[in-house]
Amino acid sequence: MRIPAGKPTPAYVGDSPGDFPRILTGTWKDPDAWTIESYLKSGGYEGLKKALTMKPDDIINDVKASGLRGRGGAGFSTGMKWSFVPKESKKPKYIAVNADEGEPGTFKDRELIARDPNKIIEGAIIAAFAIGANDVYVYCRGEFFREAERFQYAIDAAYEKGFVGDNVMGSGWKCHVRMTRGAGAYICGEETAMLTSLEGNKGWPKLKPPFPAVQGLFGGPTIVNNVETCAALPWILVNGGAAYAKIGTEKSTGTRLYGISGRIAKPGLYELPMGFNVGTFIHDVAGGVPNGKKVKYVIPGGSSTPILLADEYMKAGLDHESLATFKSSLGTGAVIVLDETDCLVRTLSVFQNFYAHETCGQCSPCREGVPWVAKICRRIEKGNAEMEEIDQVLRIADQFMGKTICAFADGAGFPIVSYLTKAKGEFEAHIRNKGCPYPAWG
Amino acid sequence: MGFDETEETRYHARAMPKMFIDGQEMEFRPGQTVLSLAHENDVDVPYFCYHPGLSIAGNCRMCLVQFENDKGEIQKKPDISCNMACKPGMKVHTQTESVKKLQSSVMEFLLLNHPLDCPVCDQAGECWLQEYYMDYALAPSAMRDHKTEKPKAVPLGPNVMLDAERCILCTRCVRFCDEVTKTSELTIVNRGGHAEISTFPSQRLENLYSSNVVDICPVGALTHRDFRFQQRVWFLKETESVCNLCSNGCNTYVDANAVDRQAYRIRPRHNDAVNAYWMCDIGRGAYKPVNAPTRSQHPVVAGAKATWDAAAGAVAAGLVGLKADAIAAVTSPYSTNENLWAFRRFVWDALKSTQVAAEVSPQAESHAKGDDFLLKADRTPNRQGLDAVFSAADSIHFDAVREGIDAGRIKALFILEADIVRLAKSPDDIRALLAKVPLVVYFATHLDETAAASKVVLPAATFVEMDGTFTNHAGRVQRIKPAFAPLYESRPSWAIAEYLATTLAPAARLTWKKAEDVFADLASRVPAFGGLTYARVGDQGALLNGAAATTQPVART
Repeated sequence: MRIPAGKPTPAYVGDSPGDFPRILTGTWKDPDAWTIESYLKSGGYEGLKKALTMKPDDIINDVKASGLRGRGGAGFSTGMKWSFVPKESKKPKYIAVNADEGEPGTFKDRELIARDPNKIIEGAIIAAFAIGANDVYVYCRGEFFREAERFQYAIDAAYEKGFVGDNVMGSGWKCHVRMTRGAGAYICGEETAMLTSLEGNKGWPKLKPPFPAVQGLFGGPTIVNNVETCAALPWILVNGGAAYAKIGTEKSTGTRLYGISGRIAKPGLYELPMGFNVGTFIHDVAGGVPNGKKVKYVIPGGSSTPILLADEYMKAGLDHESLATFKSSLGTGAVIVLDETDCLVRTLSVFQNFYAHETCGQCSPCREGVPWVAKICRRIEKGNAEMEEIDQVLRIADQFMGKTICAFADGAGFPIVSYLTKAKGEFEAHIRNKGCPYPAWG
Repeated sequence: MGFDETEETRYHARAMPKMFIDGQEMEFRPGQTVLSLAHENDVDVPYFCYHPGLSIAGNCRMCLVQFENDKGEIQKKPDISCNMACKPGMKVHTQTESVKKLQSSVMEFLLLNHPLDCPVCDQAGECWLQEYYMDYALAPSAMRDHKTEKPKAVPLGPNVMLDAERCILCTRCVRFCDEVTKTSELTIVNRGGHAEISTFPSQRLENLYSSNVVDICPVGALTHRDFRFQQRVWFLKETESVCNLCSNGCNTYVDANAVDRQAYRIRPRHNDAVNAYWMCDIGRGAYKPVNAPTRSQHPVVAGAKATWDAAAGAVAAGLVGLKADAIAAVTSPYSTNENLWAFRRFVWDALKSTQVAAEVSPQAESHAKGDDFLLKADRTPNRQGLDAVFSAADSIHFDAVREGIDAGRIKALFILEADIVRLAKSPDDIRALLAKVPLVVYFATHLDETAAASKVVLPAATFVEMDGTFTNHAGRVQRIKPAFAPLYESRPSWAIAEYLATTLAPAARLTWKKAEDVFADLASRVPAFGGLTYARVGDQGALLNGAAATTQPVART
């Protein structure tokens, strides 16, 4: 194996309060935690060892019992997803690790790959064993140069130590891991687009049905798991699903890596149990809003998630159910804080420009509708728009949300609907003022 | 791919599963999609990207419908009907307010950045955006921003021109090249609103079937370089026909301006047993000779323009004193069954000669090559028909005709619609041979080299101007229909045969009013055609007696 010489630029990893196992970040104090030696010293590959002694169905049941939900954004039960894979399949089954992290505001997978790549590989191998796959594909975001080196290092190390290969740890079971690099398209983080890209084609989402668990990569049953999901699996195997389920809330279990950015004193990554209060996170854990400013809005889970208002975020917990009561969602756990000087119109305009740039162009509503909204948002921000265009933007969003092959259009539409209904006044003010009322942004 | 009769019968024998569309109960075939079932039952579900001959892409979102759950509630989230397999008891709604809103919304998106250059667009009049706009949208554009600009008039290859601004990115053309020709020249480059159809740099869309992408393009993005700016489509009338440029007999439409009596293009017509939805680029050029200046326009006697009566008189004069064995004839597999049969009756019954050479040069000597899809090595449309009308027993080898001429025995030669000088292996020989015959009568569609060597040239109608049938390589008898009346003074060859027979030998009583009469006569006398009528041939053809049913591959192998 080639030891990567370059170092990734690390994000700040903050301390989190409370008595719960640091499943993801436990070893990160050690700058060499990413090496195979350090990983093995801290109990690495014990999960795989245990998994190989179990029946695949028992692993699936244990993961179901853990309550682990996908960390990529949709939050679907991991064990449940695995159980959709047909037991018998004429085509090979695959595990695909989604390391194409691209949601604006999100930087959790990047750190996981840089600091603990072996854990992700171990989790992916466990998943492969559980569903009866012999091949794992890692799809690493193209911009992650250093991270990809560490990923490749972890894969090479696993081959060298016999954790993958034709005879995994002497069990006779065969498992191979390969890494593919993305080429910079956000859409390739969508699971079926990722599979299309892995197959060597233009990264366009696939029609569903058939779902990937039945017919995915190269036509074989495929499970796509997020990096963070994989990283939680070794701990679950060693400690049992029940122990994992005790952490967090009833329906959102375990710990999660929350990245916080925006107007915050200590931006960075924090491992917290699911359900952690948003207000406590912002004010007590991450140091609050600098310069004595007040929180105006909180985006709880990356650019696609609806905002929380100043009177909402203190009551909200960082879990799927609590955020749903505020008509928002946990997404990728990327918390973005906006203070009173920030312009929400500008924020929406930036996000919509991103989505307009990244829509893959396959379905007509998304291809035409999303860039249209971006154009209107740009004009509203400059004050060059009519009042009725606010409602027009909402109408356009309604016309593309839920009408397309993948969830991209929904992701682009949620912030539109949320910002324009929860904070319509800011948009009206821009149009009335014929410009941005926040001088710092103008 | 359609179902052959036996399979169809089998499905009907079984109890068919049923589902509901808009409350109406419908039977469906296993594996059928909701969209296809809706169309079979005349339920109106619009679509762009779906094509029955291609895989499902599901990207246009025009065919969105709503489903009803077990509780009888119509579900809010719509789904595309093209990718939805029919299930027993399934309930689908296609006419709800919500679906109508979805349709107008998709139309709004598709037209958002569309250049609306209909006045100069060749697709205008047969453009799905126009049709659907009238049916499902009828709303002005709400766009206040600049439209996306994309390349226009980009030649993709020798036949196809791309206008990227008009493109709705349905990917039909991409899928055609991937799935049918398996040549994969086309792809979509760039992302989102900048996405456009393209080839790999410096590669051209140059396969033998490339023009099909023009037909399947629902909008004006892909236009045919032959047809561009030639004619507004609303001046064209489509006529069912069959391609006459190879023995596959691809079913076609001839699009012609009936007022100007000019053919402008040929498009494939669906027939699962022959060509599915496709045809080759060679066949598309078949209309060009019809209005060519080299058409044989009026009877010619000894190089001078003549009337029909004068021409018939010249033939009669040339035949005076000739015995039957001094008269010979040559036909070809380029003629329709009707023309062959009428010609045979004319030669045998009116001229009393049986010296007919089926063709000047046997097919085995042709150098043309077929491919693994539609194009056949035999580039004649009616060899099976020719074999049936002039079997080995009923015809002679051309060498016998040649010997007869060389020996000075044959003094009159009738040639049916075949430029035998060009078709022969050595044209000079034939030219010399024809020079030795005192009376050469040529039923000529064009003033070609054979016409130059003939004493009497009688103008014959082409396949675009007459009724008739061709029998393809698999023995399928297929109709051609006239797009317009014969040009100039030309007549269908069967009518020329009838006219000459009536003039020269009224006793033979060859009196046909129309091609169908000739066909009926043929069917009653040639066993291979027994029982066949125009009605039975219909628009999908019917097999000769004794021919085995075949199915054409839907894609290249």
